[in-house]
Amino acid sequence: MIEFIDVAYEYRTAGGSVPALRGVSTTLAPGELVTVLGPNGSGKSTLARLANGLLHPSEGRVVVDTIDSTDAARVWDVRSRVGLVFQNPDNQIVATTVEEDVAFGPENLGVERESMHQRVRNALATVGLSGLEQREPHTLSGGQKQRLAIAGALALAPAYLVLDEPTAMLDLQGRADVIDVLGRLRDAGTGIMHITHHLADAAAADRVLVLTGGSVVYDGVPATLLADTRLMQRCGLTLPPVGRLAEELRAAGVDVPPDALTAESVVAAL
Amino acid sequence: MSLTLAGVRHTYAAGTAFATDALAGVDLSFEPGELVLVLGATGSGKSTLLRVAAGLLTPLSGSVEIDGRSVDGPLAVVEPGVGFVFQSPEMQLFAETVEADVRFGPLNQGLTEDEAHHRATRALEAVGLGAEEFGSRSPFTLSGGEARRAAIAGVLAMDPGYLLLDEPTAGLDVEGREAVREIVARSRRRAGVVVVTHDAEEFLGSADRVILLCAGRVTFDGPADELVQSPERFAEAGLKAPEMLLAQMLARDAGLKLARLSLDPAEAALLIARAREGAR
Ligand SMILES: Nc1ncnc2c1ncn2[C@@H]1O[C@H](COP(=O)(O)OP(=O)(O)OP(=O)(O)O)[C@@H](O)[C@H]1O
Ligand SMILES: Nc1ncnc2c1ncn2[C@@H]1O[C@H](COP(=O)(O)OP(=O)(O)OP(=O)(O)O)[C@@H](O)[C@H]1O
Ligand SMILES: [Mg+2]
Ligand SMILES: [Mg+2]
Repeated sequence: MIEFIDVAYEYRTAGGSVPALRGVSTTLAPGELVTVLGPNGSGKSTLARLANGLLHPSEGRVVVDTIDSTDAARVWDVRSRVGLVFQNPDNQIVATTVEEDVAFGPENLGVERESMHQRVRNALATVGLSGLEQREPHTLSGGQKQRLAIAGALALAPAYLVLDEPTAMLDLQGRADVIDVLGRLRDAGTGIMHITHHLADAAAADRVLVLTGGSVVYDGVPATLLADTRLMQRCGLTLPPVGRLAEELRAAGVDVPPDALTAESVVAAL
Repeated sequence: MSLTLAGVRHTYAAGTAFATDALAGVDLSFEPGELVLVLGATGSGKSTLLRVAAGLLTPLSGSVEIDGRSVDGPLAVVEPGVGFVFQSPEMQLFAETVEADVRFGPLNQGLTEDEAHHRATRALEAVGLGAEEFGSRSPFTLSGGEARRAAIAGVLAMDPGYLLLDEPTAGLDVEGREAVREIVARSRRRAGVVVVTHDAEEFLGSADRVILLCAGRVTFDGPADELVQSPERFAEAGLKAPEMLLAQMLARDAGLKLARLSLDPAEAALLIARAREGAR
């Protein structure tokens, strides 16, 4: 379990300090998929960086499987339990070929050669990058880089996986594929925190956490949030067009559930 | 100002083991006052197309003309008059403060400090970054969405005649996407706007024209409504159709006789209701 206990975080800059999070208490359990939503600058990426000890809270505590994230002796223990996919995939590229880039993490964890090849191959196949093993990561397209970053995290097979807007530059099929993969990992016991601006992604989650201005405004099941227009407004969220179609149909007497945010789920109700 | 690409082909790392055909013979023109969407799967060549159109990349063959003037030679700078927002905003931010970053373009165009400052303030407002709060911040300390907004502001401040935007809404929240839609709507009155995006639903309703790119080839180039009425074109280009259209396609598959497809939820619901009555 990852526990955030009354966490505050402030960035220090030349011109003073920028408060990014305050009073945040939440958890991520193994086998749980939590979607994190919230406006630009609301503290989502900060929360992600706190989860694996990249940042230490200014106040409060972050505890990973009973290890305090500030425990200097256990830094690598925390890092290896919590995999992080950065918002900007360029920040994650460490090697000069796609293949080596994916192998980098497992290699550092001491995974042996034979099983590593398998891991790398599987991870690249899962994200659809097979065939590009020898390419220089910097020559990939935006979406290909994003897929590479996801492959790197998959190859690590961490207990918890925090993904910071992993689908922001993917095509719609790519987005759907990633949501599928996250669902499968969750079913296999991985704790997943998925940061996104796509409200539709929340429908697949066990829990939704919404941040605004650095504070938690909602932490609960998706259906309750999606059924409450006022609450969504307060969270700075609006339904995607297919969600509004569902709303219109509901008003016309069709029984469409509030968390129907895919074409299939809306049409199933007709 | 019009932009014309004729017979454009581009292969990266040509002649090496990593040769990648990114554009395989593209003929296109963009006219002033027109909003054109470019859609395509990951790696289909969208960013390459935009870089070529901006004069940032010289294609292996074919020609690019701006107002009948040929753009050739390894320019590696954006053509004057063309505003280009990169897919990755970090590529574009470089100054010590956000304000200095946005002011750089207009200053470079020869405007006075005062005018440049005025332009910067207005551009930052348009993207929803208050100059008070963000102006003196280092651009490298911005959140992902804030950085994209700053990059867009930097281009807006130059008041370009042509606006080329690569994934302008990626990573933006509801308010940020709204701001970009407004910027696009305002710009197209004076300029041409080309938007490369995976968020088709964001712009399909207002676009004049849509181009589908698949493996470096144009597979569709026509009015947005023509594409909406024949959504199977998406699959032909290796794309999943937007969820709104998919829902109506599935409804048709299930036997509902929809008169037409609509991007507007209220209208689509009405058409579905009528079709259901008709089926009774
Ligand atoms: N290194 C930094 N120095 C100073 N302020 C920072 C730094 N990084 C982030 N901030 C500020 O902290 C706040 C939270 O940033 P964070 O990156 O966590 O937001 P976010 O929710 O991930 O936003 P986005 O949706 O745009 O990615 C923002 O106001 C941001 O400007
Ligand atoms: N410098 C390079 N060297 C080799 N191949 C490259 C280079 N730059 C791009 N490519 C390849 O060219 C193809 C087209 O890339 P481009 O960036 O235009 O795609 P895109 O449509 O913008 O994709 P995305 O939606 O992921 O941003 C991709 O297969 C990419 O890997
Ligand atoms: Mg972020
Ligand atoms: Mg691109």
